[in-house]
Amino acid sequence: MVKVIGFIIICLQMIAFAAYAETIVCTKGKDCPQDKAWDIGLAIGLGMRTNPLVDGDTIPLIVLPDIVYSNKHIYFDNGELGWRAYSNETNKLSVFVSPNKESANFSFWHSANIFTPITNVGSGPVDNPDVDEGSAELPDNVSVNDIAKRKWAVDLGLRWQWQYKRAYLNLAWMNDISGVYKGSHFELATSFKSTIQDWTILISPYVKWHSDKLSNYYYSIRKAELVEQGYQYSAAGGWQYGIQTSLSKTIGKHWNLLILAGTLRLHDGMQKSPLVETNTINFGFVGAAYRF
Amino acid sequence: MNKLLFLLILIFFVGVEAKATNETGQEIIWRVEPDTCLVADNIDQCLIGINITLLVNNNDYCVFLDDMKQACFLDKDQFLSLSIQLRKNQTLNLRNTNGDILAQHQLQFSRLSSINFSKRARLPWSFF
Repeated sequence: MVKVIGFIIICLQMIAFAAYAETIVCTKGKDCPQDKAWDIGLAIGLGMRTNPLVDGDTIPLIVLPDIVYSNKHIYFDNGELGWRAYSNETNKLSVFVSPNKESANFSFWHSANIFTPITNVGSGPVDNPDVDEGSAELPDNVSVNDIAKRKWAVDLGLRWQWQYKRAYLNLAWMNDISGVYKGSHFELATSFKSTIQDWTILISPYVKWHSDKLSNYYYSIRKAELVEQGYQYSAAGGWQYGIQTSLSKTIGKHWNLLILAGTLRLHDGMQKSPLVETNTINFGFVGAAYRF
Repeated sequence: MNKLLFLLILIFFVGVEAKATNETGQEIIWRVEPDTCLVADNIDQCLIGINITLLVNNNDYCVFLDDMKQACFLDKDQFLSLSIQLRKNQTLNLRNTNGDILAQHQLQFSRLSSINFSKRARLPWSFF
């Protein structure tokens, strides 16, 4: 909870800082991002994302797409398909569907592992019908290779965005509609964009909350797994926090130098899971990005 | 000998005399500045003050905004100041007394808008 309060203080500081920022303007019909319905980019470079799971492979990042479509009500933004129910100069309210990225750590060839620089990963024991109490003592580590497959899921969400000059708040609530983990999660992110000389810098600290059901589906050890050893673990939900940053510099009409970096601190319930051996997920990418 | 040296120097300077040309190789005979007006997003027109400098000696020319005459160079003046109201991009034409267009320059009407980054629901480069 202290961490969440710390995050809120950081957000307020960023918004206060943004109050003194100059408005960035563009020439309408020429170089404004809102002029185009489609905005497609492809970045090629070298990067990696760590995998917190025991025997989980570090994921190389070679190609990163950035695909956006937007009209007055419908939008598609990097896998999220949404409908803007309300929109004005400072507020946007949207309903959307998007794939849940939690299974990415469990399957190397998940699309998120090919493209995405970060993946969410979701504390204490909870009631779990799949888990038998009083079984054998847990080992310190259980390999991701020894457990059942974790399926990917689809979420239905509600998103509220608020803009104040160059500071942005983004609040989203998502619920599983695919019947996979049968839970929900929540995200509060803030972003601040700035330009220093030729560089554009985006800093985005965020907090996420994962429900017990979500954490339990992906990070518990169920009785069907390792049953012969009698292992079990039930992961509860919790809060996690992280930060993402990007730096870009124009090096041509369509080309940018792109640097991405970020870190995510896993919540206690995940950290205690025998499936998880590190407390954080880190990622970094350096490459050249082309905007079509 | 001195006469020969003088002649060589004269030929050299005549030889290196160059006329300014544009990217298509045409001789630049006038300079128009400024040529862009910027207005706020909710403004429909702008009033732009333009300075025109003639770079050739023949000044029997007039300036037209599209087909509408604006002003002519008088006597031996090679400089004109105009105030022009724009609602869209328009072209300034330099014409001679026969009406032939000798040079053109486009005046840009541009609107400034706040960059709306919140068009994005997710962070850039975060597919899936």
